[in-house]
Amino acid sequence: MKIAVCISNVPDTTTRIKTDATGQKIDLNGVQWVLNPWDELALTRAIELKEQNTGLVSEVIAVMAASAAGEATLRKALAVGADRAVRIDTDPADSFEAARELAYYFEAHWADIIFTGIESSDFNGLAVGPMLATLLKIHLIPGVSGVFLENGQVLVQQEVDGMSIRLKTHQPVVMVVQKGIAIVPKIPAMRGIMTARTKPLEVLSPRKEALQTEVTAFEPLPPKAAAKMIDAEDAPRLIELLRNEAKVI
Amino acid sequence: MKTFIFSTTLDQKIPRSFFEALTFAGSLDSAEITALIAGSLSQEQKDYLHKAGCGHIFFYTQELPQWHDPMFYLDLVENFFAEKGEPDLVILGASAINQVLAPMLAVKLKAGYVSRVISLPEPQNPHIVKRFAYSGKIISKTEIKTGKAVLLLGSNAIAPVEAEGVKTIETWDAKPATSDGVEILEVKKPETRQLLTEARIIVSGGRGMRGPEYWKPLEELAEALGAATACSRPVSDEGWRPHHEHVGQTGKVVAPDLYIACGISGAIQHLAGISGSRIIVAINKDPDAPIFQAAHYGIVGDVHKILPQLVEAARRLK
Ligand SMILES: Cc1cc2nc3c(=O)[nH]c(=O)nc-3n(C[C@H](O)[C@H](O)[C@H](O)COP(=O)(O)OP(=O)(O)OC[C@H]3O[C@@H](n4cnc5c(N)ncnc54)[C@H](O)[C@@H]3O)c2cc1C
Ligand SMILES: Nc1ncnc2c1ncn2[C@@H]1O[C@H](COP(=O)(O)O)[C@@H](O)[C@H]1O
Repeated sequence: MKIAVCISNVPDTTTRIKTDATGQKIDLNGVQWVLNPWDELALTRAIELKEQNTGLVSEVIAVMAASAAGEATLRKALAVGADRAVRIDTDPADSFEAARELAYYFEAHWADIIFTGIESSDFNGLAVGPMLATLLKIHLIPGVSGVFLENGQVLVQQEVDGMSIRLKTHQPVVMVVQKGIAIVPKIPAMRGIMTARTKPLEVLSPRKEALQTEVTAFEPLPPKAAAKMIDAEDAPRLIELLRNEAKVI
Repeated sequence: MKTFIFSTTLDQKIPRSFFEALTFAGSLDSAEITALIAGSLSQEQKDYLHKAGCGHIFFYTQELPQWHDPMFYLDLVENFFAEKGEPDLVILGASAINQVLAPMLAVKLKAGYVSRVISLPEPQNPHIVKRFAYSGKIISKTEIKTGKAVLLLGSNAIAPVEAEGVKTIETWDAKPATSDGVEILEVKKPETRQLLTEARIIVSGGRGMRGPEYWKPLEELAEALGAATACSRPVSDEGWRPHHEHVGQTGKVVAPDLYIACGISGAIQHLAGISGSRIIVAINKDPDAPIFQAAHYGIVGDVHKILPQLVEAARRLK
């Protein structure tokens, strides 16, 4: 069984996001790149599944659509424990472009389970997993908070809208993972960092088709006035302000 | 412009997100609106729809899958299109199902897709929309370059207004193919649920609450205000509160009218989940806590002393 994890390369959450002089692009100078937090957890679970089911899970593959700037993040995925990595050499303009490039790859190289995160912390598209499954015409299970292999079968925990459901699924399948899939992200051990350098990282050319959407401008968030402070001794005044001034209660 | 809206019902009710989508569509002059609502509905809600809806509204009243099965809803909607024609524009409110259905429909319709749209379109052009990017840190203006478009609205991004333009309301009960490939082993339903993404008011607690045994006044305030309760990540990690209450970058993204943060420091990963809120209130004993930068109202002090006073004041409102 092959497990693929779609990895998005994103600025660390604490990065200050500002535009360049044109106002149309994000200024990426000095940005610290990281594995998208969800993808890091998906990768962690994929590696756990392989470790706990030797022989059954043959390979964990990290796949990313990104320019060379994404390479360090893919190396980190290898250091954490992925067996090999694939980079499709393009910076997607939107979630659809990412999904389409990934779909071309998976059409030629099937994986039994494909993990995507619920959202990337740069585009926040919420889209690549569902789009990928639709393009590949395979099953999609969203809201996955747990995956288990039992007697060669794939069991899935889904949590949505307060409902908790246990399913048995066929493969191939795309799973959109969320909170719970793994608790603490696996960090590379020294040995992992050493072996990562020798693991295969394949770079493929993108198909590059017509764009469907394009960001034409970025705008800063509307400025916010300083908070109105209420004296702790006079706390009930807050309720009055919320009713009569903010009109939200 | 043929405009399509879809929603499932939740506990016999039409979610607010449906009316947000309807309001968005209703703001476009040229929209011919067709809406499909799947799931059972109380009579009261049907009556309300007559009063507040618009366009042609169809109900699908057959049984829905027990699990969150996007293939089923995709199939349902595709069957609907096969009979009623494909739309040019799809507008979906931010429900859990729509969040997954929207990108799938975009692929099927070969339509450009934008998620988390936060405002009504530029004058009459739904192909240029605004959304948050980089986890709420910036707004991007996105142009859809395809003829067709699918838009997923951000939760609570648009204030729904009653429309009063219903042309027809009828049942549409074609049988959709169920999706195979999955066997359900167990389903656990909550007794009651107030979805964080639908809540207008949220009272949320952080590590400053000190422990699960101190949550009572927070719950009482939520009850007095008709609010849902939420928490920061360490609080759910510690097991003080259930996981579905976790708000932030790795939890739920919420955008209520009012978010009251009690003993929450306001880490950037927490703010990523609340920055779309209209009014943020911070209660924290540390005047330098970053949450005050994001807040509209603040109280510096001990949350354990302040909450009971707020509960009392909120109860007096009624
Ligand atoms: C990849 C990643 C993802 C993350 N995702 C999330 C996420 O989705 N959501 C999230 O919340 N966090 C997330 N975090 C964690 C985040 O960085 C913070 O650690 C977390 O939000 C802090 O939670 P807190 O505010 O409850 O606790 P603390 O930071 O410990 O703050 C407690 C606050 O309570 C105040 N306080 C203490 N006692 C009192 C009192 N008696 N009265 C009033 N105030 C008091 C203190 O002054 C302090 O400001 C993430 C972190 C990482 C690295
Ligand atoms: N460029 C990319 N390369 C590989 N995977 C991606 C890429 N962009 C997004 N993904 C995957 O899709 C998920 C959702 O991303 P998004 O739809 O952009 O919110 C992420 O968590 C990743 O698993």
